[in-house]
Amino acid sequence: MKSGAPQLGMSDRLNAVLVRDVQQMLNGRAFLAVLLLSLLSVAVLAALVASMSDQSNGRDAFQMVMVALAPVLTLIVPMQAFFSARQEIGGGASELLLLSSLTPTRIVWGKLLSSAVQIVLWTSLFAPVMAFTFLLRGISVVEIGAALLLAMLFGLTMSAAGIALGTLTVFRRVAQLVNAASLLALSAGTFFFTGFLAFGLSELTRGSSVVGTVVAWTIFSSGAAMMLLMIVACSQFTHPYENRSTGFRIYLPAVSLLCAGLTLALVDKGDRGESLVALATPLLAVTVVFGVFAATEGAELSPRVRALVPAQRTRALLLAPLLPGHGRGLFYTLLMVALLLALYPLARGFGISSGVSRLYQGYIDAGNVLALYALFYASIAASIRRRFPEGSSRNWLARLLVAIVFVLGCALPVLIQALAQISGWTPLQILNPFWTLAELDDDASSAFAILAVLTGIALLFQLGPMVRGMLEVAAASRHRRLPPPAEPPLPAPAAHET
Amino acid sequence: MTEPLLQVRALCRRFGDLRAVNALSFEMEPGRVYGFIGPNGAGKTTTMRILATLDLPDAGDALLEGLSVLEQPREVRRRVGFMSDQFTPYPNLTAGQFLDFFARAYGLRGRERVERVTSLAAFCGLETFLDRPASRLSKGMGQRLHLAKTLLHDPALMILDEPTSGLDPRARIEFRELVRELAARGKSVLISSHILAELAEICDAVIVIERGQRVAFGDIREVGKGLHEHLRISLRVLRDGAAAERFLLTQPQVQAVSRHDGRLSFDFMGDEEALSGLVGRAAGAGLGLVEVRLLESGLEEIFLRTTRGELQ
Repeated sequence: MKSGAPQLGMSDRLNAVLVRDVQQMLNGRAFLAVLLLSLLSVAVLAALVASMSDQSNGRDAFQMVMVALAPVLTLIVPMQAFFSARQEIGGGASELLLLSSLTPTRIVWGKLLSSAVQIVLWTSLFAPVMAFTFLLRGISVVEIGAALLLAMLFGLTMSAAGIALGTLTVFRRVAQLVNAASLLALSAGTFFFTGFLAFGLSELTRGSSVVGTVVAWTIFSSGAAMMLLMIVACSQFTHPYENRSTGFRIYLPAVSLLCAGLTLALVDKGDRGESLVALATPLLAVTVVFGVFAATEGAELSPRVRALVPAQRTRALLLAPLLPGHGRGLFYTLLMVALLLALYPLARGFGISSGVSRLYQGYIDAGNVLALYALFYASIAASIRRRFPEGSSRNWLARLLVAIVFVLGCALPVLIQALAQISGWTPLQILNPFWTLAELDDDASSAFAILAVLTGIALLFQLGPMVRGMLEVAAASRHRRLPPPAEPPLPAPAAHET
Repeated sequence: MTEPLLQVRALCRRFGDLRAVNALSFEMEPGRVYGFIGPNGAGKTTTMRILATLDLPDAGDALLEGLSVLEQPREVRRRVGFMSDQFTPYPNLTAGQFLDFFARAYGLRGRERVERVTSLAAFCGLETFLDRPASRLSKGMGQRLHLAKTLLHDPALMILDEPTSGLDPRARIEFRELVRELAARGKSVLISSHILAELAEICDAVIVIERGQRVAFGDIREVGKGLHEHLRISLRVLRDGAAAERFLLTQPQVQAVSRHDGRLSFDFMGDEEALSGLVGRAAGAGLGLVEVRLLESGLEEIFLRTTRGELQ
């Protein structure tokens, strides 16, 4: 058998993209360069650690090792993931992959696993020096383990960011800009991470009682961020006519419920009420963004998504808010807002300490305003999207217009009021959530009432698309229950045809 | 009658105001090679991409072994091999690793995967190139690698979109042999090319489209026949060509006689029974008749006579 021919081996059951990415990495020159640099760093670090005469210098030595390892894990590996994803999408190879048995999830998962393999590889390269730092004393195995675990987790989250950024074809025309911005973001992340790990974590983990909670929340936040980034990447690998939307629509309620669950599990009984309020309000702010995205999708289900609607009517209608389409997107936003607002009475049920009740009532008021803004902006977004024909590029056009409306809605009234020398909140500021939220401190009632009335009117205008969206799903479900139609005959051939 | 492998039914695809594919219908039988021809912008690539599930029609559908490209794309993809005119191999990967990756991507496991890759490399003449970087292969070898990749999951229908575009004559001839071999192995092939002489040698049937609409469809010979109301015949005689020409001019249903280097060609307005009588009389006339040939319309003639060269 020739050397290039495939071999049977352990990799047979592994993800195909993982195997290929590792092969590409091993064949590439960049790998050799990083390997040599890392070996050099390890040698220098080993010499420095060995020269440390003070027997309690283990902590300092470990921080030194982490400073060398962190850029590899949080910059080099994610950048490799970024370029790999960009090459996959931009090189036209993704179409070849779409024709295979690989699903977008498996492609993205394979890429993330490949980053994980690299992270383990580079970490193990530094392992002998880390063992030395433990022998120097002054740092425990738990501290080393926790720091390494977080380092690998951050590296993996950054890699997920690299994959997601690499797949964003919507920015193809400004690819260089995105490239530079992502580089900058990843670098900033690296420095933050390096500093955090080297100077913060070791202090934090020194016998503190909150270590468990901090580690649990860090793992959850990284996991949630990674999941969102993977959904973004998956949506880019998914054919434009297939379902790119449901993953995002499941993500937000799932993360919200998991957050609430984690809060109830980790927070002391007496603090649960406050914690739930503190959780629901930012989640309502996130819902504004998700709502706008959901409400700027094309109206109709593509035939491929229609074919996947459950035949059973009840199941189909229950799933309808999770299916693409701006009418269903608005309905989804409505349900999401209701779910998060339900956390406030739950929080009150757990009780809010009287000492901070005023502060938390402020958070609840802000949450109510954000809930209205989620629906208000989603209605505006749906109204804009309705004016364009179907097509994923039009979805992005509508999102851009919503962003313009938002920026103008915030900036213009400020300018007008400045010119007219009017101070304070006026109904002109209704598109400006920042000012409206700030107004809550002074006089909540008028701003809130105006916003509520306008949101109600906007929703009334969108009632038709919402109902049509649900009826379309019901019709698709009915169609799935029907027997297949008889095949129409081919048209008669022309004179010179046979 | 054989059950059609592919049924294309009233396929429509618009890009803004442009009707790229307009109510296109045709059928493909299993184990045959179909040439898909038309002027630039006729809608060939769009149609092929729809059949490969990479694009979605605005109306109509196509059924491959009864499976809809619209509603059952995953099942269709298992049965179709699509080779686009562009091939971008991955960097830092050898040809062998490239094929191995796609074999894994198509779900081939263990010995089956190794054997499939090895046999397809041999079929496409790639054995000695497997350890070379895929991105450094010549255009011809790259197309062979692309073809091998397309065959990995043993598809029932191969869709080849201008596979020989940009290849040198030798690579083109070799590629043509590969397609012929595929047909001999029972694969159905839908192939588009602007080199009609090349298609004529490998295709059993032809689909001609213009402005997204079908303008001719069927066996090449039958379509060619349909273009004429009469038969075009060629005769070769050993002796006096001028005498043969005089003879033909006296015969009924013979028109437009022309003579060139002892070979005469003419239009015959009668049926094949009448032609048989004419050949008998020519043989008995002492002209030294050595060859009678029915001249068929080639793909080039079919193309020129069925299309107007209108661009969209």
